[in-house]
Amino acid sequence: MGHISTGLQSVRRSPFQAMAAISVLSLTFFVTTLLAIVLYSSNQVLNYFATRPQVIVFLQEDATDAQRDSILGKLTNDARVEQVTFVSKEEALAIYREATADNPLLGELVSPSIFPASIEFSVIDLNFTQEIIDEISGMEGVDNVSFTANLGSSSSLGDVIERLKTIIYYIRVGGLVAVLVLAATSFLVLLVVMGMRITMRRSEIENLTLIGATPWFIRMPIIFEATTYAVLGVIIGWLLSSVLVMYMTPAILNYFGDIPVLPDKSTDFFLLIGAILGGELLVGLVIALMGSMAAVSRSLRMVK
Amino acid sequence: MLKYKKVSKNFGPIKALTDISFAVAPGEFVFITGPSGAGKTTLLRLLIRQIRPSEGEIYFDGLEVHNLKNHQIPYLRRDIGSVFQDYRLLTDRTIFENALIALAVKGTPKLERNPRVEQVLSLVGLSERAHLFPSQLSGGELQRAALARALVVNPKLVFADEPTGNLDPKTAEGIMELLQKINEEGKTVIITTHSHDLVKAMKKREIVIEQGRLTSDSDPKDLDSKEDNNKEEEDQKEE
Repeated sequence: MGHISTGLQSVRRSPFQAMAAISVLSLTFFVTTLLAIVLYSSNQVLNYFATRPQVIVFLQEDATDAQRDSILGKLTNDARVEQVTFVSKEEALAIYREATADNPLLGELVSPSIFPASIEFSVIDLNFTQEIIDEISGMEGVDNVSFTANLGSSSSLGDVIERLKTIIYYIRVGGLVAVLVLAATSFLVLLVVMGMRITMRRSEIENLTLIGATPWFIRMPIIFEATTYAVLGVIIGWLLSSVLVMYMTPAILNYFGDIPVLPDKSTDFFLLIGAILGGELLVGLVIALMGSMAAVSRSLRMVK
Repeated sequence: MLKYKKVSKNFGPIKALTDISFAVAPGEFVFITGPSGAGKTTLLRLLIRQIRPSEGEIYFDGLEVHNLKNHQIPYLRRDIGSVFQDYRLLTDRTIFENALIALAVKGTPKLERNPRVEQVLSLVGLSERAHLFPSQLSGGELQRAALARALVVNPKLVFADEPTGNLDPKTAEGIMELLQKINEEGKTVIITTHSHDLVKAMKKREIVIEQGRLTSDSDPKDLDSKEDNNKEEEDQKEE
């Protein structure tokens, strides 16, 4: 009779203890999976806003091509700047028409001449924003320079990003605390269940020790049993939360609109949840190993 | 093969063994006798390093048992076929599995395990009972099962602690015959018992322990010659 069958036999003999361990582990990994997806999505939101053109340089009506190229050249060669895009009057009109597609009349009433040409760009660090704006403002052909938008009560996109960063920070810390509490609970439940198993097998362990079993021979079925609980807990928790997220994906994508909070391609989505599963299996195995080793080491010290 | 050298064992204020010295050669058959509580079981427990001697040295097959490190103890135990007074069988496994697990503990290749167990169960006469659990066996059968588990790993020494203690005379005789057969096949056998009748019938070396002290260590050949001499002297006196 091998270690695996001994471990499985132990599970069959006390199904309620097994269910308790698996339930707690499932809950832990259900929450962990959801949290991992929420963290991914919040990072996507942050990234979306962070990579939007943060600054727009509106050119003067009579700005020459040389002046435009000079500004473009300076920005393109500036290491603090990225994603430099020139938007001509015609392109500005096209954007306006697209934005007012619901009311075509608004688009018909305007001509490209009323839209100024502009240059949009992002900065690699928001701290550089003001100095770049100051530098560009003084160049010939520049009408004015400003942030792209004021969102909500924020005065600038930078404020939006800072607020998002704060929210994500709290999500991370709160989530980490929740996961740690659940992981510790799982560890303790596993420790108690394994301890009960060892108590039940105490005389067997003593007898095996007397006929020459090494500590590892005795540990293996217990470690295997704990690992079984951990793997089942991870898979159940992960599966439930993945199904829940998949079920809610259309509503989530619809709510967030352009912001890619979840991967739009199925393969990318499955890669994401696959990576989460891999990480959770690793954590589950660590919890199982630590729980079972802690439970068995005390017992072996008492058996000579 | 086995040597106890000035071994003492104290359990707190109680002196379980005092200054015990004897040696056992390979292939020998030795009885250790004495009343209950004399310290016979303590000798086995010391040998398999279940406990450490308070004083003295124990040597087995070149190993300093008294100095073994914890991680070496399992390997010592695999070379000693211990038959415990209370059998120490795994109650939730069949007799076959009990013997099988001893081979698993020793690390015998899987393919070799089943034939070996079948062979040993046949030797002890338990082939028919192989797939029964310990609770379904009689005292004599349990003793045979414990013996089978001890023998299956092909130990260098078989140490049976009171193997006939709870058995009726006929069953006890069967067990002793079995142990003798094992000895004849070359195994060193040590048996503890408090039954003098059994020892007399077997005519083997007897080490007597009383109140933790070795009081006599007799070779049956010496005893036979002494008895013959006494008889001759008595005959001469009568004449």
